[in-house]
Amino acid sequence: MNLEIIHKTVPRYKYVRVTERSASDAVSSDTFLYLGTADKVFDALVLNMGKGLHLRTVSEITETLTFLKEYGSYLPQAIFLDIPYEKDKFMSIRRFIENDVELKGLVLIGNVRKLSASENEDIISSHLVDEIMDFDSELAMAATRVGFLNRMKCSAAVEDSAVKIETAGSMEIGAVGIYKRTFDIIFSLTLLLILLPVMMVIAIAIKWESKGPVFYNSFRAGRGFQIFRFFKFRTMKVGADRMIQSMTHLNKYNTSNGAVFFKIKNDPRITGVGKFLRATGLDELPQLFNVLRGDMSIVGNRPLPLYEANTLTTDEWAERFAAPAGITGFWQVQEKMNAVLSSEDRIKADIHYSRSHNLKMDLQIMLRTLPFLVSEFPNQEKAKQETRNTVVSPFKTEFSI
Amino acid sequence: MRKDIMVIDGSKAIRYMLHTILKKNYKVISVPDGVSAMYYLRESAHPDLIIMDPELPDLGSWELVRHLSGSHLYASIPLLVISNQPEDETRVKAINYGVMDFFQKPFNPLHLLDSVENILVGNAMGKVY
Repeated sequence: MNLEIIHKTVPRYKYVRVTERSASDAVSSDTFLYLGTADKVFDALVLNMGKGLHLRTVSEITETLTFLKEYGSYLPQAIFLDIPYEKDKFMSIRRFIENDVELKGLVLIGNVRKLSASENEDIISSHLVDEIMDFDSELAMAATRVGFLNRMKCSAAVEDSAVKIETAGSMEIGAVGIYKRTFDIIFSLTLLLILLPVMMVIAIAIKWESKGPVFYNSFRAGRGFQIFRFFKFRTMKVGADRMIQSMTHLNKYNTSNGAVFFKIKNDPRITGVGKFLRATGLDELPQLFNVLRGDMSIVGNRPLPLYEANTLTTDEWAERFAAPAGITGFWQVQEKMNAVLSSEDRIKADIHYSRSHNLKMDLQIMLRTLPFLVSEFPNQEKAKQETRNTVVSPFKTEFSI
Repeated sequence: MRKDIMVIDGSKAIRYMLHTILKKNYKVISVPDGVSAMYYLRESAHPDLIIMDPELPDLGSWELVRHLSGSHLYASIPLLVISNQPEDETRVKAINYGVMDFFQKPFNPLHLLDSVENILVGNAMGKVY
């Protein structure tokens, strides 16, 4: 309709040809401009797109668009450029529509048949058109392609905030992260210096009881699924990892959907010194090195072994990896903790921590961790008998395999 | 030179995760939806690889994959898809649209890294011959 107005109002447009599509051919009611000389292509476009104007020169394009704007009518969705590649011409069209907010959604389509390989490269790298199509064989998809591109361009043009692009810089930790890191360094360094004699004694005890290294390293996933070596004092016999498959039936966290966490009671693989270290939580002390290195934080979500972490890389659960891994954490100190917190509730608590953690919350969690450190040690045997009251020490790893 | 990888996923947590695991070896930019993805592709140099969820908040299912793989401008950019759909469905569509590799959430990030490396190396070799 609008293009017909041009046709009637500006008769000097010799080449203007407005074609009314028949209702049965309706793919879209949208309009387009065609710049070129092939009537056949224009007809194919009309069939697919609806109404169009057949133009012969670049200046006719700008005139037509200016006219349509002044007239206050609907603007075409696309310009099909069926002309040999001339950078200046393409550039001037692109500039014209880019400099005008109202025209920003207009889609420019070039004809691959009119481009040599090098021109093709150039038109792509210079971002001169929004798409290239084969005007001889692909015009049946014209409306779909134009519709998509037009929608995308219009949404981006309406408001700048519609476009969100994140680079490495914008993904960095904020102010909370810097405070946290500073606190972690001071705290872990101080504690390591104080505890160095204790750790020496433990190291000697481990060596004395069983063959193997003092530390046990496993790979864990921390913040952003960064994989790091997680340090602990060794509490099991060497080779304990390989025994896990045969013991899955003992898993406390067995669920119908398959276990997400692995934990068993009275694990036969644990050494004598190991039992003591686990009961006291002293086996976790080397994690202070992880904190110092920046792999972990004092407070955070538990660093999961990879086989467990891999099950949580979903839209729903991945947010637990948005916070740093920590020695103690939010769910560990929840007051109404049951003997066994469901794995789903733990992840939910992790996500809550990821969203809302700050220095104050961290300090509260640390304070609430303290009683566990003292209380669990003498009551260990009793706690084991009364599952109902078993409080999993925040310093106790759930995944010590 | 570091290869550019573009991540398109509606979940911020997934984008953050992919950023973290990829940034060591690649230059990563990420966007949450189709509008931002198309804007970036229109304005910037083409990435060497696109890792994307085929379902984006502002688009129909696989709509962006369909557009990119059918486009003369973008079909040369390899696509790696991480979908929420069942494996059979994902496989059929991935093959249909010429996607280089596909994963399902939850996925193993180490396997993803392997795949990314294979695609980028393979693609570089393809250009040599």
